[in-house]
Amino acid sequence: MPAKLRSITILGIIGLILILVAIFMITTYNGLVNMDEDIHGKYSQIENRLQERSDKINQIVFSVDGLQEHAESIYNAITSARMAYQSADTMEELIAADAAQAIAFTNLLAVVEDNPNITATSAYNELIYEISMMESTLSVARRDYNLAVQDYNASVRKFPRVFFANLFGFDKSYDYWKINDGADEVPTIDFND
Amino acid sequence: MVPMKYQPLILMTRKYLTQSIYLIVISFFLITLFACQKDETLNPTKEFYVNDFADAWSPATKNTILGESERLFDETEGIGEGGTQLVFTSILVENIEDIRTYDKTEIYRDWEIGENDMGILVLFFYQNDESIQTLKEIQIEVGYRMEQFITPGKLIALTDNTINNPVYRDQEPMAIAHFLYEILTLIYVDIYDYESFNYDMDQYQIYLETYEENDDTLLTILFALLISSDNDSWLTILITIGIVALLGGSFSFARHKGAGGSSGGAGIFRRKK
Repeated sequence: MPAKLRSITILGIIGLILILVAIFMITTYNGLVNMDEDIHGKYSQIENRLQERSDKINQIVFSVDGLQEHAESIYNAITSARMAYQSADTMEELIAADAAQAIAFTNLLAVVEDNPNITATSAYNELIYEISMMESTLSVARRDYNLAVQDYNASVRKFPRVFFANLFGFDKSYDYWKINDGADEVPTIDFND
Repeated sequence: MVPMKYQPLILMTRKYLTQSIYLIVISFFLITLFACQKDETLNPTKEFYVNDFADAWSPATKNTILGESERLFDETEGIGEGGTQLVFTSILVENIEDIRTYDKTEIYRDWEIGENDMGILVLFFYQNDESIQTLKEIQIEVGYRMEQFITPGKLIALTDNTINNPVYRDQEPMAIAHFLYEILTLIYVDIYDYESFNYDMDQYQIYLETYEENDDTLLTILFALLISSDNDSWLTILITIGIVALLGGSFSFARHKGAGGSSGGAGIFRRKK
């Protein structure tokens, strides 16, 4: 093989490898961007659901007949939940607000359950349906977020993405949405009866 | 220069090497292919709007659901919030506990119901009680955008006035139709601002009693066209299939699919009383 042809072949192979590497880098980068955005989208969805729940707490308290008389016992929990939500800036604070809201709901339900005159009203039924749906949607939003985080965290730790994640300055991992402080102790209610 | 005595050995090595590379490449593709296979999930039928997996509904009921749901999407597609897809599905379970193995949100998302998340999925869970299928629970999942229009309170009231209405104790097809018409009323009037949506359950009772299955399946149509043709060549068959496919919209083999919607767990669970 003439020397010139050999040089062209070698250059061609190097060029091809470079193109392949570039394509791989672009797809990897775009993949990481997509996963990163997915997490932000899912996080926003949790925020929306928390906002809905926060609004609903206030509506429920003042729409259910007879509840106002017992409002004092739950007023503190609701106020603290509202305060925690409004002042939440970081994810940890938002998780704490989520927990505080759940505790407020627990107290609210306890008061309603202990007072048959409240449970007799039709607004009570509306209340438990709303609570049921809100908890369900919030649970789905948390699960979606955690699954997105799981995908991302696993992906950026795997070879060869770990190099690109470091190279492009992506976060090494995101925290999971772990609800605690008794927030997961919201009583299960049989909504079928 | 390789000595002559080693040349057959080199040729053999090359041959084995080539075969090994082929094997590795084929194995790689096969492994990739199997790895890409999706887990077994509940898939919608070709009718999409009515999925009677429990085999619990009469042809009249299925025809009604399919017809009304098709009409709903045709009339609402591209309008306002987006076209609404209403999907009814029956599932047979061995035990009540098995109902929990079905995730309505997951099914909704897999089936991508509703244009711009404007969809409603209704799951009817049946159980065999002494060889009779009994409705045990209803679950409803609404799409993200549909949440603002259909609240759980409305859905509970609607279910209790129809499916759980004692008037329909032994008339399940009537109960299901009433439920369907009430949901349609809610959608047409509350969401798309129709002045009214009229239906007559007495008329529907007569329809149920006099219903005869209209057998307009693909095979019947093909047979009819082929019988009327003098030429039975493959070309004729292909042309026939092409014509039928072009006209497909109104025939039962037309395949519907989800309009790309998603949901976030909103809806209700309601036990059959």
